[in-house]
Amino acid sequence: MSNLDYAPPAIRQTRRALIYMALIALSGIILAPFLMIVVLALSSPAEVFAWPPVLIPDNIQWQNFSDVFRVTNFGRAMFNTFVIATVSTIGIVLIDGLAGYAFAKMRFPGRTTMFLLILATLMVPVHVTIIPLFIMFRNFPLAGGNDIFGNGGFGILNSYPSMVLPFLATAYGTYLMTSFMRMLPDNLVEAARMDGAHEFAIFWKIYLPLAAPALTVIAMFNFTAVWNEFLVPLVMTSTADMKVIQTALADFSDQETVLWNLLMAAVLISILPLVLMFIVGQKHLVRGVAVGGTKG
Amino acid sequence: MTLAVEARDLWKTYAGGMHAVKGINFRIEPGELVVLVGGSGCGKTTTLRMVAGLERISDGQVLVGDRVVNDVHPSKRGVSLVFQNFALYPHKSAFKNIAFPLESAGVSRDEIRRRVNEVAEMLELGAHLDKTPDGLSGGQQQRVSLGRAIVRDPDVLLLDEPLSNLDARLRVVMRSELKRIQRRVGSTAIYVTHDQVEAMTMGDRIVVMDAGQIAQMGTPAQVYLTPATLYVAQTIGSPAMNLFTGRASVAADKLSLSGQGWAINISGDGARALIARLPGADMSITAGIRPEDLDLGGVGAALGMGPCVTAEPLGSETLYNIDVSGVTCRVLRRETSVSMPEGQTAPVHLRSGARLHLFGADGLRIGGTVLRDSIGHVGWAPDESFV
Repeated sequence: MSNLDYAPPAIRQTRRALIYMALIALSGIILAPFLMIVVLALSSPAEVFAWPPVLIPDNIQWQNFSDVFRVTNFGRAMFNTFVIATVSTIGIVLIDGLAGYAFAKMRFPGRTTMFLLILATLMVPVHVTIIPLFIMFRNFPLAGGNDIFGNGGFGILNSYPSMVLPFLATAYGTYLMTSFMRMLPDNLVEAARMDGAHEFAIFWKIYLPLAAPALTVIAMFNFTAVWNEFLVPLVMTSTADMKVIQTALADFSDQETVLWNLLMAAVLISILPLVLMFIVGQKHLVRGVAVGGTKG
Repeated sequence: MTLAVEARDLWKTYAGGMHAVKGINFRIEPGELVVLVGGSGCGKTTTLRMVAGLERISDGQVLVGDRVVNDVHPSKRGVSLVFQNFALYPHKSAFKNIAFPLESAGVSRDEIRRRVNEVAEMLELGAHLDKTPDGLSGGQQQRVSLGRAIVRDPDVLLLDEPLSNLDARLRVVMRSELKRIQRRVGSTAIYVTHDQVEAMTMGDRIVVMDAGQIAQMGTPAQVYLTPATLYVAQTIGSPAMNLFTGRASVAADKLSLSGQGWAINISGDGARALIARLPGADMSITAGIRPEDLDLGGVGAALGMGPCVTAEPLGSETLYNIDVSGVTCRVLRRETSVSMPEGQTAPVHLRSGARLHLFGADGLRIGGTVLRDSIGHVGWAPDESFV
């Protein structure tokens, strides 16, 4: 509420009450599916289909959570997801950070054109590039039984690199880092250059620490995006041991049945690390979003 | 070690053909503090940045000692720079800021600690070494910035308007402080400022720059007493020099300088000497007189007359603005107790010992000074006779 609200107290309080009611209603709409996940994750199979719906299960089924790991290889899927999300996040922080520094602080021919080209890729949906990516990874030379021309084997399909490479750098991250780096003063580069620091040291010791708020945003958004990625792992991998969370969730259903309570328990387990990450990084995230002008 | 700095026919041309610096030459002796002064866009900062290596040299040479440094990396030139806005690393403590050049040079930790502490002691920063820049006052940030520049014993210390971000009181304190530190460190120093008071008080010599060229280079006294161009006359000195446009007319052995509302007649040997230097018998001139060389009332014929527009008490003296036929004439008087009411008409006289500078239509000094002696006689003496 604005501090410059000079309306009479009665009108002001009514207005405030209406706003809070609207906010509570909106929160309800957003929270309802999440609450449903929690209820179903703690329900028995019979309660899942009960009518009227059960809001508080009679016997809370804690074992649903352990069953998730017993029925499927969900632990392995979580590990895989953790590996690709972590590696790609580290890659993005480094590569987008370096790219942002180069576009914002270095002068080289074709800088603007290159930046615009990278921005243009934001318009291309990932679904369009998935088949070319698949072919490129299948024909990756000297990997997965391929010869030097990329023939004869399956390349880097069914491996971590096939799931990490597509997310190792993003146009969006480059754009965000460039915008943020542009806001940092130019003369720090000059000061560091005078002080004898080489270009990478200027990036690493001066600008990277100063870009921490923007990097936090990129890191958290990217980690979440890769953690929840379904299409790329689905296309690039086919073996059970390379499954990630999103593809493993499909194991809780077959043609006839869906184990809703276990599926919901698995969903809860899978979002737990993200929730923890957001709680820990909330302060930095808000700062980063504010300075980066990003929508969350 | 301290080395000389030399610029030889130095040019800076930007894309589009704009010349920021036009073939300047200077030599700064080892240990000397030289101030580059001039208005915005005169090329002083560009020159400094070319010496620092932050700006590519379009043509000509910069030498540090005997070495041409045109293609030498900024950190290998033996120069260090204090930036206008300090350019401190915001996430590093004062200690780390000062230590950064040494870290980059691969100096050992013990040596870094020893040298940073030594510099911190010299700059009285000892109690603030753990603070980051946002926890330091403007003056302390200034000192940290200076510390970072001197910690690696540069041959040449470059200072780019280092006091302009400080408040007026601190600026005065830091002026003498900077000079003291420069003397103690012994580095050759180039100091860029637009503030002529800084230039006069700090420089062993002053280089006045105008439109990418050196208008004049000399000691503060030389520049103040014998400004080489109208631009120098206007730039150096506060309050600024009074300028009266008019004509110089020769009749027999007498020279008459006059314009709208003012006139001075010169006779005798001085007149003859001056006439010999004038290119014509009747020519356009601009006469420049410093406000402290004028007085309200006096003996002999008045220079001009007019009403007092405003009186500005400056503490130890008062500045009167007198309207002499449409030209505002500044008169600086020591007597603060006697004030002249605004609107009162007063005659403007040259003081005893006053100097009047003459500039031709091209803005260049006509090599000498018109002098008024104690009995009101106005003569002329060439510059060579007293500088």
